[in-house]
Amino acid sequence: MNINRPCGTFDRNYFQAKELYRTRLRKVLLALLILGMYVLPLLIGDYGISILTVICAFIIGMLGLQIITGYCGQISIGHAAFMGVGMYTVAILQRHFGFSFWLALPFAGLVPMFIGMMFGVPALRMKGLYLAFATLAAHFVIVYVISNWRSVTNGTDGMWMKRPGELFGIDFMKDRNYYLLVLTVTIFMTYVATNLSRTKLGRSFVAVRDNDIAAEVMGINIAYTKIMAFGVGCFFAGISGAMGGAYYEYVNIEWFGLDDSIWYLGFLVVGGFGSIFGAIAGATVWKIMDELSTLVTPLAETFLGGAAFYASAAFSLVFYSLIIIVFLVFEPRGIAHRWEIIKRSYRLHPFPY
Amino acid sequence: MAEFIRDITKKREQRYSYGLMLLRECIEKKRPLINPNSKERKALLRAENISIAFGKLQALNNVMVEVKEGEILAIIGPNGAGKTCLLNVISGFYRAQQGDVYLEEKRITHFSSHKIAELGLCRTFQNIALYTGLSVTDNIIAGRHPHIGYNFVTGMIYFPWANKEEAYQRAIAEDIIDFLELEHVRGAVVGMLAYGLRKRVELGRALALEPRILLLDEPMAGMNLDEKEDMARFIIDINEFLKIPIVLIEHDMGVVMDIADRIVVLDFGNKIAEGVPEEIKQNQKVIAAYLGAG
Ligand SMILES: Nc1ncnc2c1ncn2[C@@H]1O[C@H](COP(=O)(O)OP(=O)(O)OP(=O)(O)O)[C@@H](O)[C@H]1O
Ligand SMILES: [Mg+2]
Repeated sequence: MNINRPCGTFDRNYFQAKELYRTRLRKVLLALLILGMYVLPLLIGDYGISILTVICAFIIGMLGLQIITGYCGQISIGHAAFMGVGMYTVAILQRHFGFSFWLALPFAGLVPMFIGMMFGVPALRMKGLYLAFATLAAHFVIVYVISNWRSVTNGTDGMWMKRPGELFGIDFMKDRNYYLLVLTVTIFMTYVATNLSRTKLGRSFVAVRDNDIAAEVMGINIAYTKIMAFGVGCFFAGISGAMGGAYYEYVNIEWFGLDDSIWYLGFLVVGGFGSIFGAIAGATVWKIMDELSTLVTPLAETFLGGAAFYASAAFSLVFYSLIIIVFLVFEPRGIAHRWEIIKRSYRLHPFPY
Repeated sequence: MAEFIRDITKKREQRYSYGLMLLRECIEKKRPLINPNSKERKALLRAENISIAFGKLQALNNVMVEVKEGEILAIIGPNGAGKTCLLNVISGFYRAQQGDVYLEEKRITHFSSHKIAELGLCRTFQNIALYTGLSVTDNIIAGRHPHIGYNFVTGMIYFPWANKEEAYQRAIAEDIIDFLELEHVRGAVVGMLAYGLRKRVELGRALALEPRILLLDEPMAGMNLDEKEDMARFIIDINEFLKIPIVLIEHDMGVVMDIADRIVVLDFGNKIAEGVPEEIKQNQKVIAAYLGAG
């Protein structure tokens, strides 16, 4: 019934009992993976680096949505907008107040966090679809404010953003070095999210998701928990936006469409609700699909004639929809669940179950 | 005979030596365990003149219940008598239209549920309400929520003291798992467990809160005889070893008569009798209520 650990591992104390990686093999593999991610840019070209950077930035955002929706069970369809708030916070602080990127980065997390907490308040009264519509309001309000507050945000023209300057002699204007920075931030945020999910606040998120009545009676303050979920999730979204926006050195409100927020949710399903690995897998698949759809653009040209630019956009939508439908039908619990099954069958190897 | 009893007692003590020890320490750190045999048993929980109506239906009508230190109080009554309703009012889940609830002479009528839980009033549900996505251990640790010290930033970065605290909480959870004999399913996701085990996990989660008083809503409903006996044993052990007073709602008269110190009988929202089991067995009103005689 309960085979969720590798064979031959025994706990000798309570510290071991709660370890995430029990066997040495898994620890080594994780270290190799991280090392590999750092070495990878030396092997691949600029194109590969750009994809990796975007994937890393989106992983942070997806982790945020995982916390709100996967862990705490509150649907949010304003997530891309909070990413935008993070980006614009950095851009505005740099342009109007002369902040450096480093100084602005914490604000890129904190400002969306507070706005997210504000828009999280309806969650105290609403659930499910109704809450989804309340967060939809967040999206429209944010987009409206950014596109109309021209003196500060430059309206729909977008704003320039500066990458961080040199630090310890590393020049972040080079894409390769900037990728290493984004990767480091992503690893740190993943670490934080993992710890969150296995400590007090994370458990209370899951408690509220699974049974809010019981949670309330067991001494968990539901209002605080839900608002914290929105706050922490939007903090992640903001950091993700800041890292991504600084890569392009430009932000524009058009990037945070409603469709992006919905794709966010869709690919969270693909990755798998309620696990950190699911968020990472979801974001990765999303961005790889994105690139695939641009790769087939020349093909589209031969089939559809001149309108290739739009064809590529259309192709990406077809791809997205297909993969989400496939997952909804065949593996509604996402890649993360599939991965668990694979791991389990590996551990049980000679026996089918 | 005397030898036999001594033997049993010894076995009992051995049992205690692996299970609930840590939890008992935790509770003792905060307050002395009260010997229930002492003469002046105070009322710990008092529900005064509770009335609540849903539309025309008077679910509770001027009900007055008192729970004393260290006792097992059973609340019985036919279906729809208002037993669960009373529990809901006490745990702050329903708001009574009239009446007050006092916990240790503190008025808790207007407190929110989680505040009441933090004060040590803890309950289980008639239809199981567990965190279905979490494992058994995590469910019990989640029950420790108000007692976990670190704040969320500390937890996120996982400072050494948060790590230590987590290990300590896990030790307490394992202690409870030992006591409730859930070792074989400790890592299993709760949603997949059998009904009887889930009821046990719910009891464990309630225990983890270090309750001052424990309210159990039909903990043995739908169980077979073996499971019922186990559950009755757990309830008695909790009551004796941790000195936690227990309010028990139960339909099985055999169990109630055996383990309850006092019984309150409800019928159509009215309290029709109160007393020790022998008195209740003889009470004409109670017999009438159960047999449905007008
Ligand atoms: N939220 C509610 N809204 C309307 N009526 C309710 C509500 N809760 C309880 N009632 C009614 O109050 C009465 C008492 O219900 P309660 O659940 O307390 O009964 P009970 O004694 O626990 O019965 P059982 O033994 O079946 O559990 C019932 O008639 C029930 O229909
Ligand atoms: Mg009931």
